[in-house]
Amino acid sequence: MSLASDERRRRFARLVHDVAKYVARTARNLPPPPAPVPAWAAAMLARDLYETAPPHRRASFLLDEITRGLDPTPELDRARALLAEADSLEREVRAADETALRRAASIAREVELVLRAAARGTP
Amino acid sequence: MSAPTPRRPKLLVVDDGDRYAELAHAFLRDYDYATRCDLAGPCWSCPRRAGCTLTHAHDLAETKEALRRHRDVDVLLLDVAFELPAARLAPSATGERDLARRRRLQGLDILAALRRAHPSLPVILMTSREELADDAALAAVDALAADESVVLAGADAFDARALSLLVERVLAYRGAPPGDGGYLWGESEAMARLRRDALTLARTSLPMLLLGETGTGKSALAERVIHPASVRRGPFVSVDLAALPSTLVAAELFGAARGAFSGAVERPGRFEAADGGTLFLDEIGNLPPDVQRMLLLALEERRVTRLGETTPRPVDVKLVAATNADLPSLVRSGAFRDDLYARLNPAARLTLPPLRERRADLDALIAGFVARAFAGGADRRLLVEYAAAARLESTAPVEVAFGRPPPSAARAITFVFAAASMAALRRHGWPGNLRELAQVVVNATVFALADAMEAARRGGQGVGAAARVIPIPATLVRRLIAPDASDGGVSPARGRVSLALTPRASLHAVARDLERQLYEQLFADCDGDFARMAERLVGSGGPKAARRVRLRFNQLGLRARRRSR
Repeated sequence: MSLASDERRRRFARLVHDVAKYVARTARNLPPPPAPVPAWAAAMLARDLYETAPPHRRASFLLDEITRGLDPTPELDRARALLAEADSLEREVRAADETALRRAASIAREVELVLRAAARGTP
Repeated sequence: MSAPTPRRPKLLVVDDGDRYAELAHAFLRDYDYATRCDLAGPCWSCPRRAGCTLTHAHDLAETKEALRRHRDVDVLLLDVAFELPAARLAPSATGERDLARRRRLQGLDILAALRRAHPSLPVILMTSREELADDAALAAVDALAADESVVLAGADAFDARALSLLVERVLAYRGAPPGDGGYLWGESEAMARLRRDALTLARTSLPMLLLGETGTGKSALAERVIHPASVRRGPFVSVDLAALPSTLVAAELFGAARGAFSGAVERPGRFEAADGGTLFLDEIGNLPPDVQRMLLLALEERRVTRLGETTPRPVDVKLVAATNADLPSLVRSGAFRDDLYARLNPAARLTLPPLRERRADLDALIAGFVARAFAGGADRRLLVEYAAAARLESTAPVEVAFGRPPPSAARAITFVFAAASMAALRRHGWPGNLRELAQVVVNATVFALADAMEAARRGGQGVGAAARVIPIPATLVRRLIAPDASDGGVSPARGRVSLALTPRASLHAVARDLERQLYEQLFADCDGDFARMAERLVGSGGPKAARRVRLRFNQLGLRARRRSR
């Protein structure tokens, strides 16, 4: 049985507040290529994706936790797939590999946009 | 004496977590905040943290303490949702007892508690409408619309560049009459009517159409008056359609999906960026025909579809369009859709009068432009430098007088426009309208200030009480409003250059062409003296600078022949 619309709306609002904003926190402020990602910003980006909320809860985990019981939507499926890809890049991102950092930043920006759009479209 | 560094606004971040403060410390530094941090890393590890322009508080108690310790805080960056224990929550302003709900709207309770002691402290709410989980929360935020000093940041909260602009905008409104945002109205009846109509229409959901010649203040009216006076707390987003290649307009306005066209990346358009706020489309007459249809659909359905996508996204935008073109003529010729013109609410259009039709406002406008010029920035620093040279207080206010200095100028530095100066200004046709007037006024005051500075440095009559009055002579004003066309393109006094722009195959070719003209004109103006040219170009006429200028001159393919008089 699907959740009441009030509860759905609360969940999507929480997704924006707890996941979308923080996952893209560093990504949206990075210097554009070809400037390299500074080491301290790389560390911040890794924290945004893999330690999004204390204690050490990653964005993909938060997404699953907040959306538990919600009917699937194309936006949620897309966000889940993006964050799974980000998780697969964790080793390279933590090693400050430039290509992985740029891809992770791009994923983070898209997750924010997708989740904001999902929240706007929630009646 | 060197000019003091301008003071950056001091920001207080109020957020239960540390992530936002960390972000602000790391990235706002690029916009001159946290000014004493010069380490490679983020400034929270800076040993000179005491000089930082950012402070952080986690709850109401810490916020009060921070405001007590830092009385010079300029702007509060306030989150709305706080995960705090009940004992640390601010008392509910509405008597709400549900703890989860109090946490979700804790920022508003903090704001209510602070307003008693800090009624006009500018506040940026670091949230967006998507994060407000129910209609009551949205209504609570919308109810703040009456408070001119509160702004909803929207998605810009986490974008350092956008946030720094928002801070500047909030501070620009501080102290201005409500709804006016520092806009210079003057005293004419036509402008009083325009003001009344603008403030009324701003509060409706209708699109607005601003008409008027170039330089009459259409974009300032949209940003400083209409946007603040609307009930919207989202961002003000401005798009100059004349500055965009026609092929990029659709993607710029409506966004694009990845791969929608060659090289397209996933990105939202300006409509989405302005969600909850105001979208200002300048030079609407330049809108390409295919985009006119898309704009019409967006206005009618309040939804936009990114290029390459099929699912529309809802947007809530107040549209303000402006043009100096004759839109009815464009409609008659078929260049502008009649249904879009009708949708732009032509019955309620606002027409800004040209300056030549509001000469009665000249005094008030001149005083306003002078006050704005010397309120901050480089011109303020020049004034402070002058005050030091003339042995006046560096905090002396600036006043403007017409004809003769007022006897009340006891503490002020007063720019006095001579009667002949005002006569010249009143006679001028002002084809560039307010933009031209502002330029003439600022140039006149700055050049007069520079002359006064020289006199002050020589001593004698240039210092003390006599230095409080700076005359603006008619000769200077006449020269500024009727530049001598025979000066060879370069005016030694003002450093103005007149260049002919010819389209070329590349931007590089255009830049090279303009640079070549500049060097040619300077070479002629300086009689082939490279040291003088270097003085004009880089402020130093030493042998090294002169050699570099000569080298560049040769690289541009110019021949160094001494000009015969």
